[in-house]
Amino acid sequence: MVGRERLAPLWSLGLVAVALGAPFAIESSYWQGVMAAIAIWSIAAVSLAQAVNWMMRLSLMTPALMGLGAYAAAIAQVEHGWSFLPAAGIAALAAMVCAALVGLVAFRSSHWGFSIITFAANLILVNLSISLDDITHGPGGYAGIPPVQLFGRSLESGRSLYFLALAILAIQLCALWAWRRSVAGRSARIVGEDPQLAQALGIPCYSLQVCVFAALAAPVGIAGALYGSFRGVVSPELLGFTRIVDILAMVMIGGTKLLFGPILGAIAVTSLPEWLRFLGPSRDGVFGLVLILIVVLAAPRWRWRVSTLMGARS
Amino acid sequence: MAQLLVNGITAGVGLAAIALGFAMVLQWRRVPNFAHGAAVGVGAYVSYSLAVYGVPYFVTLPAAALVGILFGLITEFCAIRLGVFMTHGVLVTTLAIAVIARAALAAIYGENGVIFPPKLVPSGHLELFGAVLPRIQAQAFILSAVTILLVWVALAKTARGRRYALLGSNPIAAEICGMDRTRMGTEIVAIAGGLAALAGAIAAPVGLLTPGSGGDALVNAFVITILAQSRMDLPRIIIASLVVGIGEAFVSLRLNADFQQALVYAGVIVAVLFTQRPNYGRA
Repeated sequence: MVGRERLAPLWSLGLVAVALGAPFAIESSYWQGVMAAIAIWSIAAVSLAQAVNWMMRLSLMTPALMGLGAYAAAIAQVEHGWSFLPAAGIAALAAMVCAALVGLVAFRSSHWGFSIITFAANLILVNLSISLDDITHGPGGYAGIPPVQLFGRSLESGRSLYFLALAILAIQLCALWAWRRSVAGRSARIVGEDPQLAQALGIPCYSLQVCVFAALAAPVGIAGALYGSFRGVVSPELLGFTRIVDILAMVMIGGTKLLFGPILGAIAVTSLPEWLRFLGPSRDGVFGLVLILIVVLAAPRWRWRVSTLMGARS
Repeated sequence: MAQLLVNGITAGVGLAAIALGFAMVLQWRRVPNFAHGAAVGVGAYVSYSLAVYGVPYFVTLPAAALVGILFGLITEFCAIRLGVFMTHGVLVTTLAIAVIARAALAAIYGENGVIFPPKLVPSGHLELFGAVLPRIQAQAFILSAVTILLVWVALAKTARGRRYALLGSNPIAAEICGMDRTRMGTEIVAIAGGLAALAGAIAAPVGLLTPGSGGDALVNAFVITILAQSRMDLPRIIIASLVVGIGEAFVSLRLNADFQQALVYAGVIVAVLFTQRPNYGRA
């Protein structure tokens, strides 16, 4: 265990070096765009993973929060002429307010109830994004979102957007790392692990969980703003069921215990379909097979696979 | 009012037939089977394929159920048994099976969807208490109701059904009684797959079939099972299905159809709040 802890800084340094060096090693602008998408999805996946880890509840509305942030930032930039930074602030605020409102209701329910309420909230936002034509431009999506402008520079390339997303991800990870070690962070953990104990200790369970849920939504909203500027368009597809599956797969593959775990999940889920693009329409099917393979290899006690398959250890 | 009830009840019974298998696996096998919607889609396409080749529609139903059982076995061996050792592993593996099935359907039948041959779809409509009911929906309603009745008989009136219930409520006791948990778990997933495919085949002639239609079925099954408090309790599932069906019909007929799903799911949130027990009181 001590050995692992000693190795942790080395691992972290290695990951940082790879993250910073990769865009320079990869010349293709297409793959730089894929890397930007990975960084953006990582922000959302890390937030969801921490929500699961701290509150022991599975939120199924992360794509909706991302989509809400993307729409808010798009409207602020296109219709009101705001620059990216205040638009991203509005995106974070919109996601936080939405998460707080849903959280106020959902945390009054059980674990299952929480999942279904967040799932229903996601479906409601999908429906609204399609139906509110005047605001969201309907199923076709909100187009014409300008690229990110920062300090007079336009970040149009995948590489520059990747570094911006990476910087936001780094800030998010640092904030989460500090939060985990704070009194409030430990209190949130206790609430997730044992609500009765938390109540006995005088921790305001309900309000703390709502606040944490809302705070974790802020980076998701910013990720949505980045996504909109990256693609130039936001459509209801961003909020859809497929995205819920994608982001859940990211979190499940990467795990929720390690801060950077979901990043590995985001790399796998975002880049695998791109690697498999040569397969054409059967790409999704192969992606599914690879997902199963990842679970088989990542699961502990994988050596028992054969006996499990035969029913000996079901 | 009569139209609302007729639309809601016919839709609700169809939803109940779809949700049964999902609730069965969740309660008795103790895993959420996210490939359930894919089984519904596979059943619908099997029925369509056979009907296109001239096989009578009512013969396609057992054929779809058999393919569904096979699909359930694939789900059990390739997803559930491989995913059980990892936290949320079953979630990923069953979703992966759903993704594979969807891709296979899209590759075979195309993304745009297909409709049942018109000559096999009953035309015209019936009048019930002043409400209009298309014959095709009446057919789907009757077949779904018969399916639910047969499931109820099989589960409540046979020794095997009671054993499944015991396995769900107390697996340790079931093992002590000499039941083979592994084999029974496999049977449950296979039966659920067959039920899902049968429900898909029953609903197939009603509208457009697309490779993604299984996703909608999964969403409905998920919502109904949660409203039924995650229990494999037939009356609860039927009531939850009717609530969802009538809610959809109410919004569609009386309110803005554009916001049908949004308002129904808002209703679901309210219903969940009243049915799910909170973990703690107000702190």
